Order: sequence, then C-alpha cells, then structure tokens
Amino acid sequence: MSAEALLDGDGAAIAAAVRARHVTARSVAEAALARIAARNPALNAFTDVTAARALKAAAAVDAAVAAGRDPGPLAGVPYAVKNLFDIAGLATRAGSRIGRDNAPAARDATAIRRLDAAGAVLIGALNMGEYAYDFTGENAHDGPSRNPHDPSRMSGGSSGGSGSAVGGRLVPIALGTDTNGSIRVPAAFCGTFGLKPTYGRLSRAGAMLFAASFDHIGPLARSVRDLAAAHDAMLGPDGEDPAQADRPAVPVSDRLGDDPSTLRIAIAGGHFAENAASGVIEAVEATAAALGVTRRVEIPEAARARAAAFVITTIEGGNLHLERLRARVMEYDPATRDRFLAGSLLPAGWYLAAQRFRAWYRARVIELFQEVDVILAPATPLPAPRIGEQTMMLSGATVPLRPNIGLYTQPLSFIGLPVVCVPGALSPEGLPLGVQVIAAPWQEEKALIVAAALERAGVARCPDLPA
Amino acid sequence: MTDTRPKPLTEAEAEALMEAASRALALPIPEPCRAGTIANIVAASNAAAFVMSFPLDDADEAAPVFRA
Repeated sequence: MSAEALLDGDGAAIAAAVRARHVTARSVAEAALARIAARNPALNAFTDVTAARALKAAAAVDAAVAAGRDPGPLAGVPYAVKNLFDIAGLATRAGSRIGRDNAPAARDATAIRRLDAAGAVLIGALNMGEYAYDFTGENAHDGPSRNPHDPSRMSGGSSGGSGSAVGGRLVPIALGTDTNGSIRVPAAFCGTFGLKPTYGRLSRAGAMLFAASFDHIGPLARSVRDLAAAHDAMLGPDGEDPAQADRPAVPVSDRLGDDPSTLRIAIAGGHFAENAASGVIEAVEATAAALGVTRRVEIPEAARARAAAFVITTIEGGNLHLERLRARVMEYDPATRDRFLAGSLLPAGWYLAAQRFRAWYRARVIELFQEVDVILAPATPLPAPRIGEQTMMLSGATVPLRPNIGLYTQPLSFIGLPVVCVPGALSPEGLPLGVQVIAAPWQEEKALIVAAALERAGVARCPDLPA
Repeated sequence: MTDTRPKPLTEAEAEALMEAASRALALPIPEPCRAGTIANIVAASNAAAFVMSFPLDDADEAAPVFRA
C-alpha cells in the first residue's frame, strides 16, 4: 500500500508498514504534507505546518529501522496538536491573537516529547476556539475550522482543528484538550474516536490551561487501537503537572481484545435521555443493542453538575486571564471576551459552593459505579450545526447554541471520569453522531474494551467522507 | 419559612455587581463589553442559584485540586 493510501487508514497500520519497511517514514510524512497542502484550504484545520521538523523526525525513524533499532510503537505516524501545546520554536497561541506575541516556546510539551519518543512525527499545530472557551470550532482570528463531512458546518470545539484534521484524513492522530467536552464534541461532530482520560492521568505540562480543575489532554483518532497507543505513549509521571495523580502507568493497548460481556453496562437515563435532536438517542440505543444492553441507570443531579461546571469554568477561566483582560481586552475574540470578563468578576461564594457540590456529586457517582462498570450516553444533543448559528431548540424552547452543545459532556468531565467518544449511527441528515462510553475513575481500559468491541462489530466506525 | 437562598440576578443587579467587582479587581469594563458582560453575569447567576439551592452538609468539603 502506498504512503498516500495509508493516510486513509489508522496510525497502527502506518507504524506496521514503516517497521516492516513497506514504506519509509519520510514518504508518509511527505504524503501527509502534500495532503495538508491540498485539503487544508477547505478545512482550515492547521494553523502551523512544521514540515522541516517532520522530515527530520521521519529521517530519524527511518535511520532506526535501517539500523535494526526499535523505532517505537508509533513509528512514522504523523500527528498534530491543538495550538495550545508548546512546540519548541513556535509561539503558543491557544487560538488567540494575543498569544502570537509570545516568545517562541523553549521546548515541547510533555505529551509531544513522549509521542516523539514513541516514533510519532509531529506535522503541525491545529486551529482551536480561543483559549479553549468554545464548543463550536469558530475563531475570529484564524477563521473557523470546518467539518470534513460538510464544510459549511462546525467542527465542534474547542479542539476543532483536531476533529477536522483527523476526520478529514489529514493525520491519523491529533491531540486535543477537554475541559467541558472539547475533545468529545469535535470527535462527535467530525466522526472520529476521542479519549478523555481520567483527570490527572496524563501530564498537561506545556499545554495552556483554561479551567485547571477540569483540564485534561487526550487524543482523537480513527481507531480505538490508535487512541490506546497514543494514551500508552503519553503515560507516566511528570513532576511539572501538579494535578497529575500518583498512579501506576499501566498501558491499555493489550486489553482491547478483552471480552466486554464480563462488564456490567448500562444506558444513562434522565438528563442524558432528554432534550436530544432526532437520531441522537437512537445512536446510543444502537450501540446498546450491539452489546445486548438493556439496563438503565440515572446519574444523580447531572443537570446541577453541569451548572456547577459552568460556574467553576467561568470563574477559573476569568481569573486565569485577569491580567491579560486588564491590558488587552479588546484583542480577545468577541465570542470569548465578555465571558472571560464576567467570569473574572463573580463572587467566591458561588465558586466554593460549586466545588463543594462537586465533592458531593463525585461521591454519588462513585457509588453508582459499584453497580455498573460502563455507562453509555450521547455525546452532543445535536449533530454539527451550521457555522455561525447562534441558537438551538431545547425542550421546545430556543436557547443559545454555544453553551448547550456541552449538555451531555459537562456533567462527566466535572468529576474527571474517563470517557471514550465513539462515532455511532448517522443523524437523519447524514451527519456523524457520537456516543460516550463512560467508566469509573482510573478504569480507562473498560471504556476502551467496550469501544473496541463496538468497533469490531462495525457499530462504531468513522463515517466515509463525502465524494 | 422564607427561602433565603440566592436568586438569579436581574440585569440591574448584575450591572451593580459588575461595577463593584470591576473596582475591587481593578478591571475596567470597556463600553463595548458592558452589555455582554452583564448578560454573562446573569447567566452565571442562574447556574449559581441552581447549584446553591442544593443543601450541602458541613462535611461536603471543597476539592480545588480534585483527585478523580
């Protein structure tokens, strides 16, 4: 298979071909660069292409293969990162205009260093919603990243370029971050797989924060085995991330073939079964049917959890940006500016009540996971809206679109649960829809086992791109 | 019994909060940002009122660094 054709598959197939000397890492990198040059003008996924770095890294992989050394599990796999990850030599812009004035990063983020050590080849930085305060993928400075299944529609955010680049077959793996749904929403809208690990699992060092209580990093990919491989490559302690937990670094790639029938799986009811557009609940039911699941559970107080996540996010985000808001407020994207301003002004009592409720909610959800291992829920209440849309229908009422895209993702990241977002059945209009496969803290492998079973059954798959 | 828990703010109340907090934090709010900032304070007050209507116990401790 040619390097160009390999780009339509997953990273594991590329790594296998490179290791077997069927293709060189350089030929794959060159094919990816050519594809980005051809397709990115329509998708606007990339903000930076690191061609020289990519060719140098690919040459090192090829040299390792030629010398008989292990080139790593991701040998020659092109990948890209949301542009809030530090890339040595580039200003970390985090979707902002202000960030373009930053000094170039002195070194790569921890996640990039680890993926590179596994043989992966960084090929560029990706568009995103400004400072990650976004569910749409729109950006006033760089223009919107676009949905590969319909470029008139949103990629989802805030890791919009990550969803667009992976769904559009520009790269097989991309890194995103997820505070309230920013990996899962673009994965769902763009028809890819996405993994938001347990809060504290993977180092965030060198990735710009948004709301530190909820910030996670994770991969988007077109296969479950690629999610697992990227996760495994990024595992390990890092003293530079104070939120990283002291947990053993246990790889998950060798667990994907485990039998899911040993797991207790249920469908989320209540909050997660309400307010969805046509096709959304049906996509969840189709995954449940493939697994033989009929049991339903209710995650208690999920709507209040979402409200508390909103309060904590806006206050932490506002406070993080306070000094920049004083100095350069009119240079912010108008879509984020007034939210950051408002968040910076809110009472501490609101914040602490939300944090205390969070502890209560966490304890109740942990109790629920004594009864079940995995919970299925929709990822978004609707498929990708058209770029520029401002409102959506919820319970028969017209409500603002932006905050409500996170209806089903926020109550889960609020307490750091690991979630795999899988591409499920298409919406009635033929657009991708995501299903969240949710596990208890530190049990990523259970969500990945179920996701892999759904992939083997053909129920979870990245939809073909339009001709 | 009178319900003493916080209610969502009106626009006028949100504007008063904005003015006071703006001074407390030395964060001026430029004219083009005022209406949007007030609207977002009102939205946050709705969420905060919903959160604060939930009864918490003294033992429900805040977890600013949260271990999932």
